[in-house]
Amino acid sequence: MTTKYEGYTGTWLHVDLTSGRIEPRELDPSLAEGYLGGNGFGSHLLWERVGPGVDPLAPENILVFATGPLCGTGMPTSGRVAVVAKSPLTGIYGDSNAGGHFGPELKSAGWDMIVFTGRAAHPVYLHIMDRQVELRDARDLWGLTTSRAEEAIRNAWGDDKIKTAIIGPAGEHLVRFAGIQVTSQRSAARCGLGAVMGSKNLKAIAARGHCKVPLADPDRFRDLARDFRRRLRENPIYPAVHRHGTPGIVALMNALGRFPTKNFQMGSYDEVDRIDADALEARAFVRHMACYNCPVACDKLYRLPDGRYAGTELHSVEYETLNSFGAAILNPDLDSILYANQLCDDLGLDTISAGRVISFAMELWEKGILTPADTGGLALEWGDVETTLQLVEMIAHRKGFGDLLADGVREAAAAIGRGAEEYAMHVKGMEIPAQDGRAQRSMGLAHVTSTRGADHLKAFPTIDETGNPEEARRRYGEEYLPELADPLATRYKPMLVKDGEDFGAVIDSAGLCKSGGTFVMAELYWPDIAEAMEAATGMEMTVERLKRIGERIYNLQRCYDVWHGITRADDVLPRRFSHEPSPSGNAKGQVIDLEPMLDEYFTLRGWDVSTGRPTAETLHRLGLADAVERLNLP
Amino acid sequence: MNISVRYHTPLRWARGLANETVTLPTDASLVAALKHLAENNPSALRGMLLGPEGEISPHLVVFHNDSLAAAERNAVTLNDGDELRLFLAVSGGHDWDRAGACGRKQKESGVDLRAEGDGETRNTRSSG
Ligand code: SF4
Repeated sequence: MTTKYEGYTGTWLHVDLTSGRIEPRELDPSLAEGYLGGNGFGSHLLWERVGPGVDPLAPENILVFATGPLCGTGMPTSGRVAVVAKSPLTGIYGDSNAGGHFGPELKSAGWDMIVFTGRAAHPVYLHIMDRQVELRDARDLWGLTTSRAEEAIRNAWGDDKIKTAIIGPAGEHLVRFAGIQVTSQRSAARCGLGAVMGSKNLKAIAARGHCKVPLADPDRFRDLARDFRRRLRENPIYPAVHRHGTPGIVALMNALGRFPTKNFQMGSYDEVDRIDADALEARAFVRHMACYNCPVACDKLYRLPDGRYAGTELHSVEYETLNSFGAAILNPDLDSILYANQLCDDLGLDTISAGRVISFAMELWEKGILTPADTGGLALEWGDVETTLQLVEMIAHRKGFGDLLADGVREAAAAIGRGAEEYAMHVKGMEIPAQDGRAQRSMGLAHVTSTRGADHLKAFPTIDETGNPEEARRRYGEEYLPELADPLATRYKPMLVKDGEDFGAVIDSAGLCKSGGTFVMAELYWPDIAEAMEAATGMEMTVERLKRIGERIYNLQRCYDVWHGITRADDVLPRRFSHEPSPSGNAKGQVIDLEPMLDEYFTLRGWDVSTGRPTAETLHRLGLADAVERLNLP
Repeated sequence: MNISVRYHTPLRWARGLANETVTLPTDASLVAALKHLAENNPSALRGMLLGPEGEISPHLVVFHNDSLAAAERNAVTLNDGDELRLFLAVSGGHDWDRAGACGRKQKESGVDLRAEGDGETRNTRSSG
């Protein structure tokens, strides 16, 4: 322990893959004070080290794996690790956050963070056994799926408790939406960070540790952890989240008209009963699983007992994947969705983006924009499972038509031309998840203000999804009702989105899970996290101070994007959302007009309303004076 | 008049079936329909439909003929042949006073931290 704060190990690793040099570094206390950990650390390092001239797949990009001060502690849901780099999918700030057990293991080995730079001459993996750290030859692992590679590493060390972060063939082939599989069970899927790992010839990180995280006030921290755990278990939504995880919302989102169908042409799927939580449980449920120290245990083990894909076994079938390989491509065959999910995990692909590029291609086929001459003879009919699975393999290995799709919908549309852009459902290059802003205005706004491109998880506005005023009242007071809780209202949504982004920045930096009580279930809020941070670190932490840190992190991410040329003109949804009324569900007849919400959002943020740039005054207030100069702000 | 009711998870488990048709007096309100369901069904379902004071539970999401019945749901009147779809909300959250926004004010709950959650948990799948 070298930093003055507890909750951290006090050291981090700099691994230069070009030279093979591994250097332990001391954690600078001012970094902890300003940015907490996780995404905060990554945002700061990216800002410091990777400018606009750097190609995301060049050795000059950095790749950060960062834990937070609550990660690996007794705090419920404290198993998260943040991965940060410039994204090859969007060309701007990129991060992805994963649960499982890798983050806590890294921390218990004595490292708060690893920063990779450069590119290895041949494939390697980083092996960490407490303070013993070395780069190992990974030439025999290159080409293996994520599950095979993990198995090989564990076998090589004779230790099945090793926790890993691994890329599959998709990352090796620099697929721009390749993810990183974290201990088989979870993924740091979004933003294409698996391709950054592949570009560095880094196949995996394998960690094993035996230390405990030091805490500033262990007694107070233990009491808090017990209390949080009790509250999560008593939450009225807990039984549903525990029993089904995110698939539990499939039917509800469908009824809201918020479940993208046929590449967002519709918001409800008439075969939803075949792919919802009840169908999934009846068909394939084996047992509940949990990330590190999580009483929610939203994760499940699923296995297909028979049929064409018999033996398919996987964790973490999420709402998003049931959509992207189900409704989005008009596929009601649950077995094939599970198989596609397992295939993506093994190949190291983000299931959201993978499903979205396929639904995009199917719509282009429907519209006659793509023909057999473009696809190498493949017919891309809606609901064609065989072709879908074939495309997943072709994308991961960049074979044939898959090579075009491997660059994501934005790049693929630009290459195809002929009006294909109209059907590319992305924001800033990131494929839009299964969250239709026509059915929930705050979500539409959240997609465009997210610092990593289309995303529901940055602001994660859950409390207005269903018109339930209860939580809105508790968090924000009576004065904002009824509009704040109404999914189709725009009033007060900028406030909801801004607060969610700042709170989310803190949660992602602290090392906690957004699905485990901070957003889903909405149980823990600013005062709880402030108190936990103080008990863990010994930093005096008021709610005001924590809010300022969250705001600082989010502003720095926006500054990074602005530095890379992003302006308000980029904060837009595809035309479909503003011009094609949703045809079904509660959102029937709805389109979304972002402009008034954006005006209010920028004003609340202290950003220039016409350009979307943070103002000098805002940046000075947040202690980001260097950004004023770098962005040349008046 | 008859209305059809569709229960979605986890209300479906509590009711023990997915759909039913219920007979109500003509022009019954949505509130009356939910009270009818609460009075004629197992207590687990009752707890999901109504709050402690007999009000519609804040965690219940109701669709009336495909439209979300939100702020105005106390004023909804039903017609013969209408459909109600019932879900549990996504967010949730406790009363701050009951839960305690700050852990330092809380007594120990007696939960054994070592006994659960770290890794795999038991299969708690119900047969229902
Ligand atoms: S709530 Fe789910 S995703 Fe979050 S830590 Fe728990 S098991 Fe993992």
